[in-house]
Amino acid sequence: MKGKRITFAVGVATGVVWVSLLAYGQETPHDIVDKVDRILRGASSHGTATMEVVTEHWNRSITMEVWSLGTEYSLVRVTQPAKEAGTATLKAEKDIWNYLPKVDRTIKVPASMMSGAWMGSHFTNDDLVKESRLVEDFDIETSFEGERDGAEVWEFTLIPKPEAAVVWGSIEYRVRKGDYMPLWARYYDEDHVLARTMEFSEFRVMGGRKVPAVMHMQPADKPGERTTMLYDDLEFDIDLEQSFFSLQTLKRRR
Amino acid sequence: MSKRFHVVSRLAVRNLRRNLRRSVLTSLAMIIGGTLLMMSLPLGDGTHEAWIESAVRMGGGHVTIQSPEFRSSRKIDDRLPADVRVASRTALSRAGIAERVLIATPQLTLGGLASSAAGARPAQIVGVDPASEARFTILDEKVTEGRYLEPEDRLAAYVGAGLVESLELKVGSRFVVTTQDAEGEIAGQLLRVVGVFRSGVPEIDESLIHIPLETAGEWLHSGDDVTNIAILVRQSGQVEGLRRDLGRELAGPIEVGAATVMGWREAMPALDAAVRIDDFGNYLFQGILFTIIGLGIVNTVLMSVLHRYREFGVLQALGLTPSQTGTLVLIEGLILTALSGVVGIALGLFITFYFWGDGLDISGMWDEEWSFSGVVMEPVIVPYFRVARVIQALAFMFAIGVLASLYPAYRATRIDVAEAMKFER
Repeated sequence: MKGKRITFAVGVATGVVWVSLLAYGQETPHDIVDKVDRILRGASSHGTATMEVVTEHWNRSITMEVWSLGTEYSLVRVTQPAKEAGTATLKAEKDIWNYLPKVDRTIKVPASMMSGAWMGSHFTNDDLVKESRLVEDFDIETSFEGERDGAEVWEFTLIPKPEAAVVWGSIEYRVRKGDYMPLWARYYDEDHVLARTMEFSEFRVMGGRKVPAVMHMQPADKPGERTTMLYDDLEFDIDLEQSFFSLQTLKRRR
Repeated sequence: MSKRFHVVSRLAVRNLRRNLRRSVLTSLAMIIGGTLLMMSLPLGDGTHEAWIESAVRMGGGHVTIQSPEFRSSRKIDDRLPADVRVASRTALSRAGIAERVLIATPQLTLGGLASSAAGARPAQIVGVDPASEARFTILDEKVTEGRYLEPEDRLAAYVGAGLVESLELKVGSRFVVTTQDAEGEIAGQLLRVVGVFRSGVPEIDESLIHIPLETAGEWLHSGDDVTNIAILVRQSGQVEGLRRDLGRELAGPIEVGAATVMGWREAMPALDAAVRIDDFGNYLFQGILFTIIGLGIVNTVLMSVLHRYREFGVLQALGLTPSQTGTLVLIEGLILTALSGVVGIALGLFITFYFWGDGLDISGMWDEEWSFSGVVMEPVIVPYFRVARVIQALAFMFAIGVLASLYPAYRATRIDVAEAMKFER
């Protein structure tokens, strides 16, 4: 009699889980955001990109070659303009090094510089280091699901977990339903004042994956400024060893 | 000899009394000098005390115990080993040391980065014990908004006004501090502003953050380790002695390079230099002042000698030796300077402490508050009394008196008796 009751309870519980999974289209917001994150990076990748930085005082355009392995390792080397060619940034696990070919120096970026601008852009060193911890640091809820601008989308509201080391008060994130392409992410402070917007566009198949080829970072308090990252080509799941991400590679000039 | 000396002394006193006007005029220069000296020295010392007080109470104390590498590295790797901390606590509670210590507080001081939705700035993050730090620091009095840290606080931060402005924070807002933790990893910590302070020193207001030591320990996986123990002494004159005594108590760890005991002069060389330069400026000014006073005294005493040419001639004819004549002039000078010195110093002390004892407000002399090397210039100077300064001033004036009387005394020994008595007046 007792055994039967337990079986019944387990049966009911399983039923509840199934129903809730179905209701969410079998994917929780957490799963979707995680999936989008994974699309943007393969197990390994190699590509070239152009970064255009516009600030109040100057504009610059940098072309660079980018390698990555998982979320822990990445290497960026500037190829254009010639003046800065060879300047490179290596990220291995939680550390970042910069290499300056002009003075032949390798500099480990100290903690205090982590949130400094990376190569004068609106991206920070920290943006490079942190493997996206969106799913770790935030509680994610669907705030909208349906059609916007002619496409079926999800909109998620990400609220930092109570003690997560996150400066944002909340993030809003729009993802296209059909192909899991991110459309934009809006970062707000605690008073719900917009701090910066990241927009994704030019969805293209590169290296066998559909990815946004253009990322556009717009700080809200400086309307005239922006950083645009454009991937010219990308390949995924290539043959890269962990040993490639070394200080020797960092210093190798073209 | 002593009898003769006695006679000469009496003669000197009588001479001074006989020419009262000349004596008063001569001593007047000395009295004014002494008064000025006793006005400027305590005010100068008071200024320096205020500088030191404000600097040590916003930083690492009069005396600080830390690892030798920490001073330049400012890294968590160079924190105080646990056994040194225990040894320091024992040393600080030892009889003979404990009486001189006003308060000792543990600090975990680190360079890092503070970031908010609005941006990021380098920051000096200090993990403190809220209860003892509140008694140690003067920053809690400089609060402009909110309050200082309290013992139950956890994710709380007490932040400089400049930093609050540049990160666009307010009381209650969240921000993140990032630095290297004890395991060498970059670690972030969420904090909320509970209070804002404005010390007046831009370097401090734009970078300093106080957080509870417990929070810092959790964040950096450093437990209750600290980088330094900051000590305030009861009287600033005790710094050197305490540093020496603590050095002796902690001889073991110091020997193996695990700890050093530093006075503020070592820890804040810029402030030390500022005090020394200012002192030097004062000495230079006093030197010039007293050279002028000294020359004035030389003049009057020499005149009095030349005036009494015949008188001294008569004295020598009656049996006074030339050296006794010289001694007479010297003693006259000494009595005069000693008396006027005491009067001048007393007058100076009276003026300084009767009128300005609670502080001399000089805020009218400048428009904005200004600061240097971690020190705010206080607009009110509270004079600081030191017995050593009185003795120093007395000795100084005595020396001037002697020096000023030397040449006239020499002239008095060179009197040609026959020549001196040749003419009637």
